[in-house]
Amino acid sequence: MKKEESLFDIFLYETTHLLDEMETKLLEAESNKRTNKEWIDNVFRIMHTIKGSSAMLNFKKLSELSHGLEDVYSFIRDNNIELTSEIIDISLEVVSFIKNEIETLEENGDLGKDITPLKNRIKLIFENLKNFKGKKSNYKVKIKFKKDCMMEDIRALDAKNKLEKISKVLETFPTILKGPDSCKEISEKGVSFLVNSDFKESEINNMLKKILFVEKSSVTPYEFKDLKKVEEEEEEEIEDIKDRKHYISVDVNKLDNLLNTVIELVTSRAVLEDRVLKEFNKSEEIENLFYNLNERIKELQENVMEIRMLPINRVFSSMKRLVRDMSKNENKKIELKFVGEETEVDKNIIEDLYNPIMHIIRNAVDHGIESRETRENLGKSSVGTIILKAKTEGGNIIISICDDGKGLDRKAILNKAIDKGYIKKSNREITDKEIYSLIMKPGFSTTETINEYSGRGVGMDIVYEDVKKLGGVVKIDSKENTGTTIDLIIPLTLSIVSGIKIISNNISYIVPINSMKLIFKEKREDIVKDTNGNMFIVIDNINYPLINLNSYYADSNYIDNRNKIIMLIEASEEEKFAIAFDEIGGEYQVVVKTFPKYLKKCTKSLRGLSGCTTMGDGTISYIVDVTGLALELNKKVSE
Amino acid sequence: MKTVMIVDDALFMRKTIKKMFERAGYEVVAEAENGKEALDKYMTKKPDVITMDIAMPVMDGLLSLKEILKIDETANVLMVSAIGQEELVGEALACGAKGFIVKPFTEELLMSAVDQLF
Amino acid sequence: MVKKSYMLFSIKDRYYAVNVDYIQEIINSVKILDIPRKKDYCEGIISLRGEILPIINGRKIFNIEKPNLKDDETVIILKNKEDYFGLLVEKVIDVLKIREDEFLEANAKNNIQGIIKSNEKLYKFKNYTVIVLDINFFDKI
Repeated sequence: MKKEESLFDIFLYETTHLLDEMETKLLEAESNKRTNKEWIDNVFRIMHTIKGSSAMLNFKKLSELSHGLEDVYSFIRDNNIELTSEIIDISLEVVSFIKNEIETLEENGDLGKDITPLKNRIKLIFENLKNFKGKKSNYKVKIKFKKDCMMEDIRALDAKNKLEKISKVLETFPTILKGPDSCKEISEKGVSFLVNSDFKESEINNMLKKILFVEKSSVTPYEFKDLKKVEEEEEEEIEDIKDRKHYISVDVNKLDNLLNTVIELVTSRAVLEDRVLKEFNKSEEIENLFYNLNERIKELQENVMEIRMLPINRVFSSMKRLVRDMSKNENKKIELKFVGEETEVDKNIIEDLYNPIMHIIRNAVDHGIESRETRENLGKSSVGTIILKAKTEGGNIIISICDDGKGLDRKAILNKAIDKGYIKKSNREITDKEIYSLIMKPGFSTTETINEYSGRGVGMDIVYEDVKKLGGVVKIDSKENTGTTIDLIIPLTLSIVSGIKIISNNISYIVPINSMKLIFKEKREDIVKDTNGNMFIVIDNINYPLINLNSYYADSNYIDNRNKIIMLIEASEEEKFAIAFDEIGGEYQVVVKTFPKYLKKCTKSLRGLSGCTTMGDGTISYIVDVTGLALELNKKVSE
Repeated sequence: MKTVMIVDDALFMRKTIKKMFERAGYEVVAEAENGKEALDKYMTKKPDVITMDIAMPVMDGLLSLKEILKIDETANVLMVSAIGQEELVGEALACGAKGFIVKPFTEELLMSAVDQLF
Repeated sequence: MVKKSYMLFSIKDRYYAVNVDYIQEIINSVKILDIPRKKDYCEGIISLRGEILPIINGRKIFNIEKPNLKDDETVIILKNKEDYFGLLVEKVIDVLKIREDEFLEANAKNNIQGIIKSNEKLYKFKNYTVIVLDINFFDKI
């Protein structure tokens, strides 16, 4: 049984979340320069919280470090100072520093590395800020009067007059401060002024608070914009804060158990329905009862599965930092865009996606996107683009990393492949896609430069292995000077698949229904073999590779002569092949489960299988990995 | 205990306001029917707070306010106005009245205004 | 010294024991289903309350003859960290309470059948010599 969550666990969880939040905010501020009072308050609050909780756990160095930044942000807030890139940089550095050390806090009793250099730099920045002379700044002043105090127009006018003594009032909202209409408006929404002053925010606010019947007042710095637009923006932000999600940390084992129970429930229901409907002849009442039960259980199942799902944005957003740091280092301007970042993925696999995606992005920044001059000479925009896309399709999640860089060097790859013996100089045409997938073989790197990020040829072979562990495949496509696209196709751990049951060697399998194209009985004449022993079948005058499942899943050359059933499968538009098996069953909707670790030890190979499922009658079926089979066929052909 | 002077030409208003202050723990040390009386009594009693009606005979609230402020520019004068007296209220505020309250008002509103003065 | 509990089981005339800390449950009748390309010591897989686990045939890993499966055989469900599987045995007998110093060492005098590794522990129970299995044994099969 797991121990009670220790205080340290909670601290770690909370602090990590806060640091992530802060990093996101800092990156936002860097790219669109929006740093209003809300923003500064947030960052201040984060540092303040971390300072406090780390002090409670006696992590002195961590507390000091966050205290340093807290002071900086407090000063910025009170004196309405513009955020500089120097401050953003050091804040990001502090965030990274803490993130790196945070896991070992408990063992080491505090941050491992020396914080003195960072601390001194923060101090220096702080001193510089203090010496900065006040200048005239723009503020937005907002006042709300106490309800029913009447004659709000005069009150607003009074406020305006008082403001004019210490600033220049540039704009008023509402524009007319007179009459019953403006009274109503001010009473409901308050009054706002845009002023320019060399007084500090706090000084202005103190003056406002002395005005009678002022219930709420605020003074915030901002860039000159239309007041009304600013009002709308502020309202939007208040919305954001309201529906910010609240997280609780949950033991994943508890979720697993919950899900297992629900799955058993689904199965029990199926068996019950089956038995009952056999006992009682078709009764409409019973059918309705079961229909309702089915719907409720389906909902329950969906809800439980959803709990385990997290938006892939978690992984994507951490790439922003990486791209920022790398492109700064290499003097390239790169924009990272997301599409479908709200796509949800099971918690189990989200952790394992970091590394492969990170490797690919590193490659894209390092080797894909060209330098500014090169891009300009080629007539491309000086800013390179990398798009991170996520979408679900047929029980898989497809993550695409697409860059508009120089593309893969087809010739170099081909030559290297021949050198290493991965390809024989055969007379068969090799497609571009086949060539590009060669970079996933071990030892492939066509650049010899090593740098801080890439090391020695960041192995696409490692990416291949990582994705394979998740039961997925990698597809690579590229075009010279246009760019490269890499797709990671990974089965969603808990997906519901609609499929047809087929039987081969007395073992049942499920073929996803959207891959099925045709089913028919075998005719000997249509099957041919090539010189390598590969089988093909002719359907409507087209040759398709044929896999005899009896031999394939037995890993032997077992051939039997029974009349078989052939199914034509379409893994994707270009990948069609046929499979032969013994019997065909009905259509089922199943919950796919991945193979447990120990089970992999008990088989020689799980090739061609993407998971298993318990059927309603207590038996187990295996899900046919249509994409994997297609990939194998591709490789076979190019060998 | 804080002291109050109530300036209004209507006896009913004076009595009502007096009751409100007494309930809130203030001591009403003077009442005046017009601005002149208010000025005289101010000089002898020096109350902490003054509620000043605007429209009064002999000397109106605005003039009285100005005179009182000449004696003590930090005097806490709260103007009591009615709808329609916007101009005068605006001027009173510009001269240094600490604020204004609009008739008819609740005890709660009066007290929240007075409390804010201290 | 503390006595620890071990579950005693047998296959044919051989006796084995496993620390009960690793035993989740014991089940008697279970439907074992086939899996593709299974290794010879694996009987197949079962679904246990929604969880799928492989069943290892005790006869095969301990090299005992008579590989035929009988319906009344028992499966011991074992769990060690992430490893979760069932061991198909013939009979589950009893729980033994053994103290650390009561183990014997494997050597010729102890009259054991079968192949034993030198670091395996033995225990004398009535007339039998019981091979006490370390849970990590199953990692290395």
